[in-house]
Amino acid sequence: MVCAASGCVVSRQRVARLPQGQLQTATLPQLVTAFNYEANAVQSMRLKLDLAGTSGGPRSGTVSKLNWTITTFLLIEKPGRVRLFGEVTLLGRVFDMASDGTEFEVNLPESNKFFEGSAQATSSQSNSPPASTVSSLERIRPSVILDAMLINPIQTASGQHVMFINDRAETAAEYGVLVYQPSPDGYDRLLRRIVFSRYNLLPARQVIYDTDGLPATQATYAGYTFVQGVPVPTHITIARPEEEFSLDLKVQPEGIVLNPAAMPATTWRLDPPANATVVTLH
Amino acid sequence: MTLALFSTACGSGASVAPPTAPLQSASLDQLVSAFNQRADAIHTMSLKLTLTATSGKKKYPGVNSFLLTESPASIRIWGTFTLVGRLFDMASDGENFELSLPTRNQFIVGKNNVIPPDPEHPLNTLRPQVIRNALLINPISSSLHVAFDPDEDPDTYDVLVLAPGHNQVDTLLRRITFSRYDLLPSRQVIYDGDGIHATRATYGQYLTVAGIAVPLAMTIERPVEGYTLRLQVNSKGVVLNRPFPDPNTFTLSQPPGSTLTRLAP
Repeated sequence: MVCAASGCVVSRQRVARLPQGQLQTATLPQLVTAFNYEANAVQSMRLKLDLAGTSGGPRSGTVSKLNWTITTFLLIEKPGRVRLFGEVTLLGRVFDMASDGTEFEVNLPESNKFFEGSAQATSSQSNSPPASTVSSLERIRPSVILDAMLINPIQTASGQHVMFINDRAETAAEYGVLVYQPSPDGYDRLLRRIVFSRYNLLPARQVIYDTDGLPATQATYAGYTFVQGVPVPTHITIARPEEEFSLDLKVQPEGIVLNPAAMPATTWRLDPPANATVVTLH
Repeated sequence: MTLALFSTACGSGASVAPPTAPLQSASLDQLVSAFNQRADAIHTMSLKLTLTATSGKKKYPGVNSFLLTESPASIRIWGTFTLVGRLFDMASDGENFELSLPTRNQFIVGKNNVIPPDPEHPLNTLRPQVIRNALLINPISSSLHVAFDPDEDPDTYDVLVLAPGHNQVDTLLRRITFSRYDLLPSRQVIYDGDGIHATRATYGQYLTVAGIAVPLAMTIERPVEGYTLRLQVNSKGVVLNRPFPDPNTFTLSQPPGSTLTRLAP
């Protein structure tokens, strides 16, 4: 604005500051213990956030960016309940999705479509619409958001193993931790890759692999704020390369409520609106 | 209307084209089996090569070298320079090493796994076992675990080699990257106990000798010590599985008059 008024040729753009402070050190058990402690400290949460995103890629042939942000509310109750709905001024609710951990529903009032199916169903499944013909919102499943929220502990009690990996994907200011499920035949499967920043020893990135060992979700975390002693990232990105969409979640710090009173069961299910086209995904 | 902005139909239209090159597929089991089959098939190896070293910004001239290996862990490598003769000669039985530097009249002995830092002279930290471990002749032990790491580009398969530890905390030993154009190793990272890159190696220009694929172009980088070796193997200088008649092929004797240095401990 100042530049435009004064006619100067230099414009200023805000860029991410480098983290301040000393690099910290931690052992692998220390990182896993802290991660699990923080994950287990959250049994339910309510977040108010601004949602943006992009969709598309090589399969679709184009990349599209959402030009508006959607004021969104995210409700979570462990182990698998999630509700996510977004509103735009004047338009009202533009999407609403819910899952009780078993089934999911997505309501898209603007397109008059209603999707329902297994909570684990993905948009890349055979009976889903082709990726190139659907909007990003039709590809999102509530469980994807839930899994990326850093509230699922590493299940060492269930036999999951961990190891350090300080590799191409990590910098000297990061610790990479691979979580995997050993197999008796020695051919193991990766489950998660959690990259911790050494400036705060908190997760900075996470890759969640699918059952074929392929990266299903790539998430980043920044801008941590502490709520009831629990670190909560206020800037989260969630990319799903296979489904060709990515989400940008900017959590409003004053809109974070951890472990609120239990919400009614109806919170986690949606009924199709009258006259909506219902698509059932198995 | 709002949702249309989020759909592809109203996108800003950056065109993305999928790759078209044909790629081969293999299972983890197939990759590991083929890797071990190649490694196990080589009992002895003799290579004639040009060895070029770089440390920091300093690049040393190429040295005509000979490299001999014998299973399970022995290696001998020496280099000669026209008019000067033998520049260096090093040997190892896997645990101990000897290094002869005739032009300096020095003879150094020590353990392969003891590498005192020498930032001013990174090549002083070179151990013959570093070269041997990078030569793709160490099979993946059946006591270890392997897993695909799918984070890399679609032209490659990345295989992690893991050593089971205690309390479900394991150690990453190796990352072997296979090109999907020929399913042969194109890169290998060997990690130290902390998961830090100890050796980064690349492989190219494969030649099939006696049915075994042997890379003629190799680089071996030691990022912590700060040096890189480039091995360009002469295509006519590869001999596999011919026994070495001299029982002392992999031991060096101290040349008379040379100064002996024992590296602690």
